This record gives sequence, structure tokens and C-alpha cells, in this order.
Amino acid sequence: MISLSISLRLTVWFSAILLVGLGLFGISMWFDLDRTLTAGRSQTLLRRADRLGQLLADDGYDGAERPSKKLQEFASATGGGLIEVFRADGTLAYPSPSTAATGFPWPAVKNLRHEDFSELNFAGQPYRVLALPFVSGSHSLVLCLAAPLSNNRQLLQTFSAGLLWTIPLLLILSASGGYLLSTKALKPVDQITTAVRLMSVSNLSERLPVPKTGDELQRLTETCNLMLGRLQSAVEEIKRFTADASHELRNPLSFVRTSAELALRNQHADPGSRHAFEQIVEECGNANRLLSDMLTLARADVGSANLAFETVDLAEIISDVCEKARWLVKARHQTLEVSLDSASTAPVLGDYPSLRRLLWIIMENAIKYTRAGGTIHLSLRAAGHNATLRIEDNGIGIKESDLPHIFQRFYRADQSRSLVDGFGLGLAIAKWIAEVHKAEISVQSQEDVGSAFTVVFPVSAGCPDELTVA
Amino acid sequence: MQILVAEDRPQTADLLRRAFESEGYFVLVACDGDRAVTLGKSKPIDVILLDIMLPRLDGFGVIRKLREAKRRMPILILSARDAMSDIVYGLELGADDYVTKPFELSILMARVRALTRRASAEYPEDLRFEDLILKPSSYELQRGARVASLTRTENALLELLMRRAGAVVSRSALIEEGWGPDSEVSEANLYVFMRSLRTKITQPGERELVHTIRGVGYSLRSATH
Repeated sequence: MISLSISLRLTVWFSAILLVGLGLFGISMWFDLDRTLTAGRSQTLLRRADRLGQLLADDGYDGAERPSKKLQEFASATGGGLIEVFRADGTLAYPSPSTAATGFPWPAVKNLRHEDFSELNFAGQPYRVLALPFVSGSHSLVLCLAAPLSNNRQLLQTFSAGLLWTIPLLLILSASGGYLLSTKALKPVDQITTAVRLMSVSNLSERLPVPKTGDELQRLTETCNLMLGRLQSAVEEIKRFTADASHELRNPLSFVRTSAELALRNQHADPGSRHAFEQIVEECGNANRLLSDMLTLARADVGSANLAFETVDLAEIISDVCEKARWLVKARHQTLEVSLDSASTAPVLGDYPSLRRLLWIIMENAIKYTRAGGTIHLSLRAAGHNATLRIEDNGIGIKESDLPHIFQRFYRADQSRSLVDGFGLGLAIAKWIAEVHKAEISVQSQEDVGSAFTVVFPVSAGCPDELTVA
Repeated sequence: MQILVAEDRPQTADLLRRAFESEGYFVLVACDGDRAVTLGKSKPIDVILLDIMLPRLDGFGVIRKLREAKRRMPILILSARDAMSDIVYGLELGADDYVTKPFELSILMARVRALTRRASAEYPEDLRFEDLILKPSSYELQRGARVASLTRTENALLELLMRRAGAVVSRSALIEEGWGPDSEVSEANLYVFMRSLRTKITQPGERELVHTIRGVGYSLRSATH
């Protein structure tokens, strides 16, 4: 079934009803007009018959078979000469007063008692005919008069032709007008739909603009806003809980770790206990990293990440991170290539520690998923208003089916990957850091060929004071 | 060496006491902020390990009260709070270093050693570079008519930069000067301190003196080239 918009459906219904209404109106008007016009003709004929009767009464019928001069004049002056006077037996009382009357197919009038209207066609034209009994002295006569109806027919035709023109025109006009009006009336609904569609967990604090119209739309937006309010408080409670829980867990975790470390300081501890304490310390470290990552994301969610934005040079962050990465790369027998235009700077508006973290997450990822002997290539290219950071590796790559999910929280591609350290929060954090810096992070990858992460930063206008060492 | 541990969780306080006593420190414990201030004012204390979330008076209040009372002993914030704003606020109030929980015991020990070592070293003479004057004895810098007070760590960082004015000072040298060897202070940590220090050295409208040397460290120079 085709689903039409409300305004289109309203227009279709409205037009159908209008069409039926206009049709009924046209038909009834047509019949009414026809009746009125015919009645008008009949009146004319009766009036003429009256005057003819008067004329005959003035003259007085004497049985003479010659028409009086007055009758001839009357016939030629009115009705195109379509007048005849018959005797009661149906024979002509006078010779025809005009040639038109001679050939006219007059109805039979023998023994006519009452006035009689009839219609007939002659030479392709419709006529209305009146036969009226008339008494002149001792003679019974019948007056016959005819008038063409062609004028009436033409008028009716013009009328129906007019209707056939105006009905579609009216229909189009009213349908488009109706469509426009209903679209306008329903426009706020579209606005509400768009606004609600743009709502997500990150902007639940926003509200729909309420139209002060006092109608259904106002009630709808108010109801939507109430629902958003309930959703917002529920979501905020969950986020706050995550932040509080990660935070509160740090104290006991710290206690466990320090206890184990203190126990390890005892030189006399047996090797079994030492091993157990070492494992406790290591696991505490892992748990703490997980907690920190969760806390970072929970803070990002509630928008309380407390970032200090200033002009920082991406090139400086890259040298920082590369310095830190070099020993790790060396230990894994990998090669780190850096294409960095030493003269160029890429000033971006950002939070230094966060940007450093973003770069480190991607770098660490590349190192982790590249085999010994592999190469990691890092480049920074500034062009126009963008600075593009690219980290490529020729490692194990990412399956195509995993690609859309790698920035999701706790997403681990597969079992073999879960053997590598980490919790699957790193890239989620990287994505968040990129987002708060209005940068775009993307990934291209092919299994067993390698991956390439690209971050495109908007370059800030201000140039930092900077010394470069050749 | 006498350490004051300001910590409201008795188990944690006891653990820290044992850890530092095993290293030969004498440890005092304060379980709330008021007590920490009282002890800090009345006892000869060499370094304070301060939690932020303390009952009665929080850690920030303790720093403020002790510094107002002209008590200059090094203060190390030891807190589960790791929000940058908390750390920066603590440093602005006059704390000398911060370590977030959970920490590595050996790192905490190294950082405490660095603080006590630095406290005992004395550099009475003032250092000058252009219109910038550092008074290491009172942790004050003067630029033109403006005077700003520094924390112990900022003081140490600026002192090294001024002694080697014109040359490039590597990040590792700065970290060693500020926190001592084996302290495992990250470069992100150093960045936080350098940022705080730079805003004290150069106010808006003044000429930049501290320059970042990409990939190496920092340098105190008058010109940009």
C-alpha cells in the first residue's frame, strides 16, 4: 500500500468531495436554467397569442378566406411569421400569413379544447409550438404560434461548456490551495520530526521549540519535551553512576596494589607468594587502566571532560609520541617511518594531553597489530584549512565486517585480537577526542595487508610561537 | 625525615605509614583536614601526602590554610581525583606535586624523595634574564613591576631554564630537576607544569620568553629566532 502524507491525503479527499459537489451543482443548475428558459418562451408565445386574439376580435372573423392586412403585418413583425389560424376542423381559417408558416409542420389541432404546448424539430432546428382554442363570434378557431428554441439551446450549451471549463480549473485551484494550506498547517509536525530525529544521547538536554498556538501541536511538542526530560534524567543518572563507580573503585584498587607492593618489599617472602603479589600488582594495573578509560568516556558523556583548549602544534605532539613509541617499535623489531615536514607547523586549537593521547592510542594500535619486521608509517600533511595525520601499518589489518564497529566501546574484533592487551576502549576514546577537536577520524583497512588511520584536523588561524631545530 | 599523611581511610593511612616507615621515615597521620592543618602548623614536617576528599576541611582548604600561615613544606597531592582542573587548582594553591591513585609505590617514594631533596637545597642568589628575575629563596618571580609566587616544582623548573638561558633544555633534564631520577614523570605531566609556569612568566601583552623546541624540550630566549 502506498502511504501518502497527511496533506496529500487531505487534498485528495477534499478534491473528490469538491468534484461531486460541483458536478451536482452544475447538473441542477443546467436543468433549472432549461426550465426557466422554456417557461420564458411559453410566456412569450401566450402573450403573442393574446395579441393575435385581440387582433382577430377587432377584425371579427367573417369566414373570408383572405387574411386581413393587420394579421399579415402582425405575423411579419413577430416570431418570424410563424403564425397560423385554423378552424376547429383543422383547416386553415386564413391563407398562411407568411412563407415560413406555409411549410411549417403544424401539429394537428382538430377538436382541440385546451391550450397545448409542444416541441418539434423543423429543418434541424427545435421549436416550441402553442395551439390555443379561440372563439370569434360564432366561429371556433385555433391559434397556432411557434418560436425557435435555438437561442435557448445555445445558452444551455454555453453554460455547460462553461461548467466543463471552470470545474477542472476550480478543482486545480482549490486542490493546490488546499495542499498548500494543509502543508503549512502540518509544517510544525515536520519540524518536530526533524528536531526529534536529531536528538541523541549527547544532546538530550535540548528541547523542542514549543509553538504558542494552544492547539494539538503545542500539546504534542510539550508531551515530547516531557518525555525528553524523563529520558535525560535517566541517562544522566546512568552516566553519573558510571563516573562515580569508576572513581570510587580507585581507592580500594589503590589499597590492594600498595599492599601487594609493600609485601613485595619484604626480602624474606617465599617465591610462591612473590609471584602471587606480582600478579596482583599487574592485574591492579590493568584494572586501573580500564577504570581510567571508563572514567574518561563517562566524563566525555556528561560533558565534564575539562579540556583546556589552546593553540598546539601537531608536529610537536608527533615528535613527542614518536619518541615514546621508538623503544616499543624497536623491541618488536618493527620500523617507524615519519614523514614530517620539519619546517612546517600544523597549529590546531586543542587540548595537548588529549591530542597526545589520541595519537598514542592510534600509534599503540598500529604497533600491536603489526608483526615483527613490519613497518609503521606516520605522516602529517597540511593543506589549506586542514592538517591530515595518517598512520599506516602493514599489519594484520581489520576484517571488512569489523570495520564499522571498531570505534564502538568494548568492541573486540575477534578471539585472536583479544589475546592482545587492552579493553577495546582505546579507539572509542580516540574517536571522542577527535570529535571534541572537530576533527574527523577514519580508517581504511584490508586483512593481511594493513590498516591506515586518518585524522583530519581543522587548522587554527593563530600561529604559535615556535622555534624549530634543524 | 617526618611525613604527614592526611588520609581519612584508616586502612590506607596505615598502609602508607608502614610503607614509609620501612623506608626510614617518621610518619604522622591526620584523618581530617583540620587535624592536618593543626599538625602542619605545630610540628616540624618535611613533606605532606595530602588526600583531596577529606572530612571537615578538604585538601584544597588545607593547602590554602598552611600557605597562608607561611608554612612552606612540600605538599604532594595523593588523590583518586585526576581531573585536570583539580590538579591545576591544587598546584595554583601551592601544592608541589600530584600523584593519582592507584599509584606505583616506588614512584611515590621517588617523588617524595625528590621533594625532600629539593627542600634541603638552597639557592640564595637571585637569577636574572632580561626583565625576568627569579628569587629561588622565596619562590617568587618578578617581571617588571609584577610579582608572582611559584610552587617548589615550578621554581626548580624555571631555575634550570634560567641557569641555561639561551640553550635548549631537554624534557628529561627538566623532569629530573623537577622530580628527581626514576620518578617516571610523564611528558604530559611536565606539560601541565610548564603550562602553569608559562602563564606566570608571560602575561598577555608581554614578550614570550619560554619557547618550545619541537622534539627536544624548552628554551629561555629573548628572540623567536
